Amino acid sequence: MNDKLSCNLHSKLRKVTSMSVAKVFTIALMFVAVVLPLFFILAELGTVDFIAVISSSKFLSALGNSVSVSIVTALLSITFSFTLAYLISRSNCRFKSIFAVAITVPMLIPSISHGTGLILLFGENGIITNMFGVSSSIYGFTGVMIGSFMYSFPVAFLMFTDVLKYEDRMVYDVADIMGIPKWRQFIDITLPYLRRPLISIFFAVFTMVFTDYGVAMMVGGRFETLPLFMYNEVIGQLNYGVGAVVSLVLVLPAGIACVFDMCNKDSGNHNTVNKAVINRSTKRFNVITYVVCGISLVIVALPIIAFCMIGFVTKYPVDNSFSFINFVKVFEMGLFKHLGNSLVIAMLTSLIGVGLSYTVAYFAARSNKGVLSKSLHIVSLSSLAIPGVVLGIAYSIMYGGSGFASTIFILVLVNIVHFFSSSYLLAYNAFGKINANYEVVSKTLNVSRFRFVLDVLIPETGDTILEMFSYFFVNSMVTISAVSFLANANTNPLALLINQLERELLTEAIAIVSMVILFINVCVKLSIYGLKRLRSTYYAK
Amino acid sequence: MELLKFENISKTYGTAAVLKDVSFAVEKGEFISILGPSGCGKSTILNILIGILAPDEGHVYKDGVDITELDPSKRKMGIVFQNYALFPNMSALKNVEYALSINNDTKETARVVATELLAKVGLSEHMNKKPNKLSGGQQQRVAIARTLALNPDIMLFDEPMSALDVSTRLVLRDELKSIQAEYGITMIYITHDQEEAFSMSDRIIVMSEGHIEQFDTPKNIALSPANEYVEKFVVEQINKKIEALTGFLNV
Repeated sequence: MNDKLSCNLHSKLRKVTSMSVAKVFTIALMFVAVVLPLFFILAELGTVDFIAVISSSKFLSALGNSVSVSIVTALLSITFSFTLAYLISRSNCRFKSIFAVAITVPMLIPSISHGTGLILLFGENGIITNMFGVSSSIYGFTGVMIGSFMYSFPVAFLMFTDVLKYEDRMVYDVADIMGIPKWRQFIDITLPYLRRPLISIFFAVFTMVFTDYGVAMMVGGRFETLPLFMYNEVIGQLNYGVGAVVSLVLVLPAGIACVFDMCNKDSGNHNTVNKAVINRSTKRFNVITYVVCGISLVIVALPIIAFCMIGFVTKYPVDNSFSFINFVKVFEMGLFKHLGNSLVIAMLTSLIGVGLSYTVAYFAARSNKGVLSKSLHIVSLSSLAIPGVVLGIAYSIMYGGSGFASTIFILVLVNIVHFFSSSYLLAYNAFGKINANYEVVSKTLNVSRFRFVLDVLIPETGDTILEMFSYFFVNSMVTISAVSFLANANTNPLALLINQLERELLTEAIAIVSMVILFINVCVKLSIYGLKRLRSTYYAK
Repeated sequence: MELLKFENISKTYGTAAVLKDVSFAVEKGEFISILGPSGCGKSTILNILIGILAPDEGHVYKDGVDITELDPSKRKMGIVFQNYALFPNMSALKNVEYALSINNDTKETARVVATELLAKVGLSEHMNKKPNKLSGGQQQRVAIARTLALNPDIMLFDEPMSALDVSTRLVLRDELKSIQAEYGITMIYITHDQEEAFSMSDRIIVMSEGHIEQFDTPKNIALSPANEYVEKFVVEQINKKIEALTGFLNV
């Protein structure tokens, strides 16, 4: 009996490995970075009359505006991006991969730039307004809806493309053999397959629009949305209590979406997909694909063309001669200083963020799947449920007044936390696809965990690491949410310079800044693409 | 000479008892198969043997020394999996060399040993190929060579041929037996395939629901099954296959 007891104890003690210690430490760290700041928001609620805030007419109208514009935009985005993703993934038209890449270009500029693009095109003195004499106002609901559509549909497109990629071809082959017409296949096979992803994507787009203030700031006019209301209260009047109340409302949809996704986790194994690419192409189908892709390219290209036209003429529409005067103006306003800030923030965020999310994903995915791993996984996903603006306010309350709060490092930290979950998921999913027996084999071969990670895992997941880096970098360049509550004149990144330019009504300057951000992000994306190509030729040997 | 001893081993996951007081001993140089349907506990035995799982009760001895708590890297055991688990970013040669160079062999020695081993398993012409350029059978040969490289006392096999086609299996069976004869390594082979177990093993452990039903030579199991389970799961299945074949020949 004694022997049995000591054996039991021994085996329990064996489980307390350095790995478990690392996991507990990581969970604690994540808790401090993600969950703890939220308590500061809750504490802030005590400073304000909650009922008075949520029953004020300003709050209620902002809430109504936000809900209505988010729902309409989400429906519009989803319909359009699904059509696009379906056509591109099922047609065999040429250039479809180029189309697919071009459509994601809007993700490379801040949301606020999309608002600017609309003004430059459809505003009172907009290019299209002048060209066709259109007179209806872009300001208000329509503007916010179109602007939000512009930056949200590429995200929905990517999500749909990913879902459609994993549909099994065999099912459709069997349906063909059974003589089921194509339209019935679409209704009876494709749509049911898409039901869950559809809800997820709806929530994702809704949340994006619901928590963004950039577009509304630019083209909202009197149409004030909830995040903009919060932004004005906090930035303009330092009214953190109201900010805290609004934060609670903003967390709701993302929180619900997060819980929904966790409950409906697709447990199916994609490895069983026999042949994923389903070619439904007929000539008519291809023609429709070309037309819809053409329309989306115009939508994507218009704002960029507008930036170029407005940015490089002296003063549109009064003096349309080519000039660098706007560039000089932005330069004088400290373009390079802010650009420097942006690059430092993006670089630090990416390097540290990739290192952290990769390590945490390794702990969660490649070790004993016990309670600790599961807790780590859930904590790591928690930042998905917290909108950037909420995170920003929380950090600003938590660190306000400290020396840390005025440095660039708080921006790096908040960005890492903000973008952590998505990058973590990239790594976690990549690890899940890697042979589960490697660690055991390594142990029997006396290869340490560290050597295994260095010699096998990192080379094997190189593409994912590059993807993670690119995700952190591009998002750090375009984000205006969390950072807007934490940056100051010295640490302001380039995207936030737009907020300042907007206050001074320097639309041309905004065009220039947007182009610079776009240029940098395109360079990063191209470099990542080049590195992946290099890797694949190296490893194909 | 007794090389390995499993003594009163029990293991429970939550409330499910996966191994119930399992004991057996293996002689040096034997080829032992552990035969049973999925969920019978055979993989748990393997995990405890290799050292990635600790039993709740009982002890594992090797050469008379208690190795229950010993680190996997110090057990002098190698393992070959169904899905090969070759490092995908390394060539066949690199896969075999890697473990050797990590374990303090010089580069030159590692290269010589790895080349020899790959030649032994018939892969001289494919040494510089990455795993994804090799067939299933070839990958499994690399995995065997990699395991042999560290000169283990015991080689464990976790259903290594389940993913291979029948003709490759037949060839690999013979190769495995000749490797065993040449190196004198003790082999423990996990399978759910009765035919495989009967054609290769010196002795077979028949398992069901966490305990051993019979541990004996193939001949003894076939002639005198210990109970109804062994009769049904093993002997009847084997007889069916024989009948099917002879029936075909009679036509």
